[in-house]
Amino acid sequence: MRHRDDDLSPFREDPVVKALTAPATEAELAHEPDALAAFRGASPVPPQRRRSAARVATGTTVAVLTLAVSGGVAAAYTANLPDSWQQKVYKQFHSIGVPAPKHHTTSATTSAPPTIAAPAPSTVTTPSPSSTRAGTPKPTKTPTTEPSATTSPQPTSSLPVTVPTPAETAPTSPTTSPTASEAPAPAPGGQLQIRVSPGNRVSAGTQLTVAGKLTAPDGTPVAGRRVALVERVAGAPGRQRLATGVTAANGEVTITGPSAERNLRLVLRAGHHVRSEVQRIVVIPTLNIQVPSTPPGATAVTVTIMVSGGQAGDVVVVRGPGARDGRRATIDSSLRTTFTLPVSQTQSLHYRAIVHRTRVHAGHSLAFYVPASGG
Amino acid sequence: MGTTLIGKQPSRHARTRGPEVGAADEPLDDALRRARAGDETGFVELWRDLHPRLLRYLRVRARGNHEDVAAETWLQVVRDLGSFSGNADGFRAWLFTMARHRAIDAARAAAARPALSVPDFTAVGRPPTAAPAEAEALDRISTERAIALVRRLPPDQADMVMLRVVAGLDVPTVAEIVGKSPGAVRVSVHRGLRALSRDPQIRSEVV
Repeated sequence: MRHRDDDLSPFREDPVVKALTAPATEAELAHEPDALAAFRGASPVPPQRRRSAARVATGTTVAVLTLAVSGGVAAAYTANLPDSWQQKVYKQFHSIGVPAPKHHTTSATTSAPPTIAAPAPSTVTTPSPSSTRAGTPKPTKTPTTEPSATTSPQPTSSLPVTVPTPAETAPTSPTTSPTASEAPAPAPGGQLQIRVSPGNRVSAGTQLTVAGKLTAPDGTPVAGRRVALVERVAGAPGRQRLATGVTAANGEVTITGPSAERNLRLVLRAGHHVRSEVQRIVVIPTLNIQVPSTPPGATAVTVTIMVSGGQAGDVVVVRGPGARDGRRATIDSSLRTTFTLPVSQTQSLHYRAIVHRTRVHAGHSLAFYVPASGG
Repeated sequence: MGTTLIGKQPSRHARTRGPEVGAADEPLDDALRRARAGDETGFVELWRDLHPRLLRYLRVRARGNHEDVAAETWLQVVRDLGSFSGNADGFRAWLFTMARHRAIDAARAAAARPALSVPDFTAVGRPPTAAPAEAEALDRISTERAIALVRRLPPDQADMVMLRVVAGLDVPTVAEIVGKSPGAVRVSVHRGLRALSRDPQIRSEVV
């Protein structure tokens, strides 16, 4: 019988083939600890064990069966059920990895609300030392309750695996073909928490730092695992890997993120299936308003407004005396625009510049005034 | 019977560094069996043998993203290892099929959204790697150069050459993975290797 490798025999001593098949280098083997940590973190289980888990699910109490049918077991695995229900499911399914109720641990989905970072103050430059009413952006609730991707929508067959592996192996498996990677598979255990500093509402240009903590289903920290900071694109399936880091012994990792030039949706990922919740980063533009000095007798003045964190084409609205309904102008590529505003001879005129919310930044407003020209 | 890629491989006892890429994998059957049973040493043996091959393959298939794709592939392996049954040949085919799918996904994602020029923070302040031994440096240079030359082949042909030579998969398995007939795979790989062997650059570097 012809050997299946006979077609490569002429190239056996070819320098290209020898180079391609050269012994592994140290660099190629450098990530062995990472791989071993992943192996320890996801103990395999033979398929018959999973089938027995399914039988347990069908033979248990009505309450638990109801949970299983409604996908509650998947929720139970991620400890998202109330403690009382979690305890019930845990009693029935702890052998297949369902965790106990969260008495003392804090999951990513219940972590403390994101801190609100005070954005850098916008500035108003006026010729007078008198005070201005610089607007401070109001903190708003930033929803970060998107379901974690680690919560599998699958029923019992998709339960993560945490039990030790018996020595015996299955005689047959549907995953022996190369297409096994396409089959629905259980999500690995583990939880990845995310926290963004200095907060979820930041001024344009703020440098972001993302901290994460990776824990196994039993709550123990997972060390040596590479964690990627990924930007998700709103309304699109695309995502962009921004940077990576490796978890320390306590399971924590700190990654220097991008500067906040536009709104972001950040996720930490450990491997393909363990993800953190989504952190929405809202960028607050900074308004810089320059009001030139008004000579005596002047009737109008040209005010320059610069919007840092904005985009060319953004609309700036100025409301105030003589512009009750608001004057509108768009900023150019230098992120500036100008307004010619009236000047009073006897009193200062107070205005408010407004930049409305867009897809790339939040709305913001800033009060300023034009001093009287009569002294 | 395991796959012998290019004739008999030297004894493992003669190796001073990592396992030779493309080596015969009968011993991997035992490592695979132990890894499935949860034995870490079995998994490490598998990883040490297959990961270098996987990286080299992905450096052709998933340019610039090979380490991440490899890491994701191994995570899927450790996740699904308990449901896998088969010998080392089947495991290798399974591993490289998953890697190929992930590489395709990564390429689609990169095409859908061009990469931003955000530096990898892990590269900042990283201490320089230790200077490898002279012999390893020579091997490394030639391997780098060989991979660069394979990249210059048409993508399908480069894919088949790497699966055949580096992954050590047999012709029917490669044909199944790439969706071509075994005859087409055999011819394409043959032509690709012949084109590479005639390249004057690789000869001047390796010889």
